[in-house]
Amino acid sequence: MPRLVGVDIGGTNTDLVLIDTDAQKLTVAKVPSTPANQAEGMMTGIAELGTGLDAVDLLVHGTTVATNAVIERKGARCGLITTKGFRDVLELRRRDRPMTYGLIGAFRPLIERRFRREVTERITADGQVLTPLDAEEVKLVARSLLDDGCEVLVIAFLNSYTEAAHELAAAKAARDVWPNDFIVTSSSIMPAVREFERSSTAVVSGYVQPLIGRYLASLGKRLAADGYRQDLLVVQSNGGVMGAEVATRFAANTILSGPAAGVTAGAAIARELGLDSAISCDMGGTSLDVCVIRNGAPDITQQKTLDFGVALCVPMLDADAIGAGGGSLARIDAAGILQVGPQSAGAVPGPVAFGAGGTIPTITDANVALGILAPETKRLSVQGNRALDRALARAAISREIGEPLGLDTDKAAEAIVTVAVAKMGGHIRRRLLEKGLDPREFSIISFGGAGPLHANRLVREIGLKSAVIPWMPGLTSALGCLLGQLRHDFSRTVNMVLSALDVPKLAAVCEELAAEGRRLLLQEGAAKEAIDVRYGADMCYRGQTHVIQVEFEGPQNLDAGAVRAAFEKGYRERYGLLLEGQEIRLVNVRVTVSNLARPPELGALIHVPRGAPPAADHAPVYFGGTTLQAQVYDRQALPVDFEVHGPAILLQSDSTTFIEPGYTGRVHPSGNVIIEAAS
Amino acid sequence: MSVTRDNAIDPVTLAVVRGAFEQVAEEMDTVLAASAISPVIADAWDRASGVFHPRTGEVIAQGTTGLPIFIVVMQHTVQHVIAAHPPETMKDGDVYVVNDPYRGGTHVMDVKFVRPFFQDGKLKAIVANTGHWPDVGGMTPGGFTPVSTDVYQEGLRLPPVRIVKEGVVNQELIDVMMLNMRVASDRYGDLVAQLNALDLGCKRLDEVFRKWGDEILFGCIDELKARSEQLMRGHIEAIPDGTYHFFDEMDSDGVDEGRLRLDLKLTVKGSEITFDLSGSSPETRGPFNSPISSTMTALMIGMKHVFWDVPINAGCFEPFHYIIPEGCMLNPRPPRPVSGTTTETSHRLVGVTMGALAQAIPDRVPAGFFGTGTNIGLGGNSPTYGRYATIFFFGGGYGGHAGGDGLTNGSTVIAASRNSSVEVLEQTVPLLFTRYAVREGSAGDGEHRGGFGVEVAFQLRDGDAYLTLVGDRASEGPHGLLGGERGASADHDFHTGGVSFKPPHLSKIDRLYIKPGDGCVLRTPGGGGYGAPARRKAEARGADRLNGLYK
Repeated sequence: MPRLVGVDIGGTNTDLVLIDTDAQKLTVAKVPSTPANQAEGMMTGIAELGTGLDAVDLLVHGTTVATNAVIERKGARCGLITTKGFRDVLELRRRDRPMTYGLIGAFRPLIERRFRREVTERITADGQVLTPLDAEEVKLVARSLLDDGCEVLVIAFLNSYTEAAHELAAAKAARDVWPNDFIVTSSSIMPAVREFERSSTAVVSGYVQPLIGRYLASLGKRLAADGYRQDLLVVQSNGGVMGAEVATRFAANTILSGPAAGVTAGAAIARELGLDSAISCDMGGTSLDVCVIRNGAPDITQQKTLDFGVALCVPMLDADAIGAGGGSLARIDAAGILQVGPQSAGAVPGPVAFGAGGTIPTITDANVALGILAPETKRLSVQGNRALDRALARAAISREIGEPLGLDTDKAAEAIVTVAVAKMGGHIRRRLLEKGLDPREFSIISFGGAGPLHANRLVREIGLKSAVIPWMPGLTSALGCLLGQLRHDFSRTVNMVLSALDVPKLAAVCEELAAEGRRLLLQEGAAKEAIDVRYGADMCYRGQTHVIQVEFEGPQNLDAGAVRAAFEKGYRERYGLLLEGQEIRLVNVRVTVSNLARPPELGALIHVPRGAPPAADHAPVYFGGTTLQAQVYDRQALPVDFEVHGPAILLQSDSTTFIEPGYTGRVHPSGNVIIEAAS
Repeated sequence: MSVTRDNAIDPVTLAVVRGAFEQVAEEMDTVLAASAISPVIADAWDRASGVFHPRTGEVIAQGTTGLPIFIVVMQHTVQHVIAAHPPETMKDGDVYVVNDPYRGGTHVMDVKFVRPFFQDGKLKAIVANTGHWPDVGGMTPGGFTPVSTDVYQEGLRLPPVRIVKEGVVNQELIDVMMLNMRVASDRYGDLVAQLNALDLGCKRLDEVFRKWGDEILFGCIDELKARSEQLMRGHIEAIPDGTYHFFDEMDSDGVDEGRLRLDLKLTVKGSEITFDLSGSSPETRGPFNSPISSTMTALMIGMKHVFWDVPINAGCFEPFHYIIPEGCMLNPRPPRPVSGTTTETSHRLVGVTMGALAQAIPDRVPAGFFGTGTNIGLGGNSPTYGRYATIFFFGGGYGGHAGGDGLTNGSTVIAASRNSSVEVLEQTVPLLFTRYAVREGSAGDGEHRGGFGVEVAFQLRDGDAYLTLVGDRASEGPHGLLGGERGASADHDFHTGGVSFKPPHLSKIDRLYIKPGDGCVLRTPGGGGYGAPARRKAEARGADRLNGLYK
């Protein structure tokens, strides 16, 4: 596959990367996003890449269509059929509230109560039929929902995780009256215990399915009209990719499509550099997305809350966001204490320095004021940086922060950055500790427009080992689209006690899930011999609620002793003391099926200069309470193994890297810059 | 707004130090929830962690996901430990355990661990956590009983005693504790989780103190306390001076028939508030007495649900004065029973506080919320599930407010705990649920209506069991505001042998013996309405009707 295009569509920009593996060449483009129809921006970007679509062999796409539909409640009208007595499961949620303090806030279900209806049927917790299903009743109810304008039918019965027969029979009956393929059963989307989470997941899936289907179909047509003849792949929330056809069916798996691509790139960089312990850290305009990467693989989570009371339980990269980006606002709170974020200046008006009408200073403004962003160099400048008005930024910081706190402008600007970094650092540190990980062993892979500015500061704040700044920090997510594999994750609740493990049953479940995955992958074009299958389980001590994930060998070599050893090893690493004598439960079986074909090697595509370094330019920066002269370089002109001692600023078109005094940045042969404490 | 002080601390340091202390508390909370056995700690997050002043025991920081009910209680607990074991007698590596409701507590199931933090031989701070254990012995499995007549019936009581002495675990004490509790192996798991969390807290404090040094840290602690106080005083000053009187009545104490009165005169004068609860009922025979620490916490939670931006530390309690006579049900004397405190009395006291505030500042306070724990305790023997004991409880409607309708099925206001799922319950105990639904018509009407309560029905599938309900709010629903109507009151039915009946105290029943097919239908209150019903927009009313929320 010689010519591959990756497209990442964000809130502000659409980023594109073209990899030509024959010519070993990388071409990039960045164009404004077109939220009304994301395909417009994509087509403009492709034109900018300077290639005809007929010459492209694969196009991979990270999209935010599904996420936006949920947050803005712009999905399809769905009807829900439930077990009699349980139509409100979706609305009762898990009995929570939006904020711990303050008894206000509202919940908007994705399906209004009038489109939620019940049928007579009941299956018990052990999978027995207590009340049989009446197919005619299902048809009647489905027809009434259709008459009320529903486009999608979701079927979610109690205990269907243990016995799906009624859901399947109801779907079969509904197909006789439903005019399209949009029928979702909860057991097919999330065959696991907990009725709210399973119903909610099925509803999210149904809610976004027609949108994703229409979007990908129209995009496909658009691409075909311009000569594209190959497969269109979509990035999934688990970091893998899937075919556009399959994506419509598994629409809920595209919810984290956007952030997932960046994490995938981070993982590829971690593998390339041989980093066992890394954190990908994507800092854009409004948020910071963080994901832990261990032994080259991003951590996976099984559940996320997309909005208050909207749960989604599918395997996803365990990336989470906090409101800290370049556009995060700084203000003084009612107690007179400086706060940064989570409110953001957004794309409009943006930071004060953009001169577009913003008056409240942002993190970006603080960096401009400190002389780090758009430094006052003598000769060096890099095209692509947006014009930034230092005087405007400094005036706003002085007025809004400096005067109330009695600080001069430099100190106030540094205070904003310090507080923001403390907040981001606290979040990252907590993420690591939750997982029982030692921050001192971790490197931060920092990208997005604002990531490289703060990477070094986070290293110092958290006590990390090092920071890695990718070759093109602002286009890392687009690149990540091309680094994922075809991949599908499956799970099934089995609830077995380890001391009485039913090995044949466990093996049968593993084989069934693996077969389904193989079938899908073949459909998406994977070669039969290149399919990899991995098996694992969620386990805990009897009585515990939180599970830990354990890997085990395939169904042929299942052995209770080995499974126990794997669990105890994982538990000890995480919590310390084992609970000797307590029964161990195997809650869910997990099977991951992926394509073994290797993604393009990043190293071969990036051409790092060799030879003599360019002469440094200089600019004043304010750091640690004083003004220093920083060296300033054009980052992509720096040769392999070149070392820059902080304070230093590395300029490039899509991002700016800051290196603190006491730290050294080194150009790795892979093109990444690695920042570590000077020895 | 600018803050000037003679000994002003660098504002950046202040912001970062505040974050650092909160971070220590958060990390202790995280580790505790992740490794505890008790589902009440692990799934419902019924736990809290904090960092406290080494001499005064005042709270410096608490984790943001800890339970609201512990915000005052934890400080009182630490202060009781200091009273029993003065700082000069504390040794590095000591850990104290205490659960006595009469020593800064709630009920005996909340077990607290308190550990002095030493650095270079000097006592620098105290860390503590609390976790709700599902059982610590006593007459009723799960601990919540509506009929205990003294605290001895409610479970094992521990004064502040050392469970770890200079790093050596006091196994004899642990043996005594475990012998007195049901499912002791699970409780041992919770104990280990709480000790591990404190250990982590000390490690992290060690880094914080090394990084900043005592002088800066204690300067910041004083300053943060002053800021919280200043912020709380600012809010109080904005309330017009005057006395605001509000009262509410509980169904009964579970033993004697007759309503219980919670009566608050809230007097605002300048930047100070006096809470006078002297018009409330005397201490009761049944277990709905509220220990003084729980009472003070409930008042604080009521304030905090209205002024949520005030950071919690000792400073925010400074503007408050209390008149809570000893011998009143809100300041009972030992050995009065207290197990219904947190399931009922605390909720209602929060409601009374907000009801009084609403008279002064109705634009900032929602109408009344459901205000009952509706706690089910179930213990039995099943041919398919074996022996079991569990607790679970239900939510209800919040009040309408100036910004909109109330939330349906909100969590208890003194906690933020999520419910157990029906499927998980059916997996753990032999129950069959036949209904778990929005309770139609239960929300109080108003321009902004209340949220709805829930209706839940379940029955036993096999074997036999004892079913206990600790609830309230069956006599009168939550109050409306500015012309809004009351939400529906709780309404529970039990059935055994095909005969349906209401419990004698309407909302409470003790160890009802049930067989297959026997069970109950519980209906929790909706929230009160806000503003006159005539002002409700036609489209909002139409949507409610289309959605079948009102008949």
